[in-house]
Amino acid sequence: MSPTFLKPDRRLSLLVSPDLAVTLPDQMQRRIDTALAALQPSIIEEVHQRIAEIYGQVNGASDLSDRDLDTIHAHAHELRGICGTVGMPVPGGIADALCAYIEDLRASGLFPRANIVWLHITSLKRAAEEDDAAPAIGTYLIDSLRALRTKELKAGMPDADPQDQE
Amino acid sequence: MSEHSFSRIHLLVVEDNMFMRNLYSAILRAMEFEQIQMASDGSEAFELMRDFPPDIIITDAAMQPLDGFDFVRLVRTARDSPNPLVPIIMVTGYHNRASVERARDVGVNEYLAKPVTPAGLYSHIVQVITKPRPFVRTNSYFGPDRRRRMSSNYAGPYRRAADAQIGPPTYRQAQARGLLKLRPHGLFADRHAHDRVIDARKPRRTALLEWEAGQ
Repeated sequence: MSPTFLKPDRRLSLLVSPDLAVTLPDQMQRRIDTALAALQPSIIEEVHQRIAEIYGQVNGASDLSDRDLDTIHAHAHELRGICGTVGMPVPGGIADALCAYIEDLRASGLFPRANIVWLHITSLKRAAEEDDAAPAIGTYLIDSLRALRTKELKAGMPDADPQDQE
Repeated sequence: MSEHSFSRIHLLVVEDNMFMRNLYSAILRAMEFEQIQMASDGSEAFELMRDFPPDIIITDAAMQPLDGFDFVRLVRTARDSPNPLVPIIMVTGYHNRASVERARDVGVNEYLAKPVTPAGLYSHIVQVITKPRPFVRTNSYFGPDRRRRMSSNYAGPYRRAADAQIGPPTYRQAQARGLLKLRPHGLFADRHAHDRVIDARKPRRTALLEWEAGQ
């Protein structure tokens, strides 16, 4: 079957001003900044609550079930989205590293280890508590956690292509 | 910038996280969107589309019970879909290539990785409004054209039977349309792009040699 093409619908462009700016106008950016500043405290409180929730789940636990990991992954997935948006890049990066750790190990048929999950979450907790944490140290921490994930993948799957594990 | 430039656009945001919904609401209202509806997963959004026909959908990927990918597939291909052609922007924390390709293959128009920035969201919204892509229907796909660029130097592989018609004109077509002229050194050239036009269905080198041999 040859592909059938439908012409693009131009209706939406008729609903907006003809002088629609290609990039976000400054005036709009200022309004957004004001709106986000008003929302930020409640979102940051939510971030802390979620971190406390998953920290409580892993702290002192010697084993994690699949269901525990699902919950932790779901929270970490939310945190990586929220943190970056509200100006918490280090916790966002750690949450991203935690998601990658759980996803990649599971995809490789390995089971994420409780102590490494704990290390991610305790780092996440600490980074969220430290407003003045140096970004360089945060980046170093995120890189270290990612290196740990790669090391574990290599140990679990020594024959795998190293590029797949990056 | 005129006031209320987006006020007539109906926007549907599909996001399961309440705080992200509030964040979207704050950003989009500051952008002067006035018609915004929120849904917490794909199935709720699909139902909502009947009462609130959206002009643009912004959806998360990871949701329960119906995730963003299945929701987009449903919108594009379900018999009872209220609007299979609606532009869809997927905003997600999944950054890997597989997720981007999956989003593309279910029919997402634009893909935006979290964290959401107002500037990024704005530019993707403007993109779907001002530069809508044609839709393609094949045996296995219905959605926006996944080819964003046309290259006159592309030499295959060709995946569509009609590729020679979609891409640059073939030599004969170009000749018939008067797009070719004889250069002093004996090669025909595209009058506008100053680029040689060859039969795009053959590997470039072979076609060029045959063409030169025929001059």
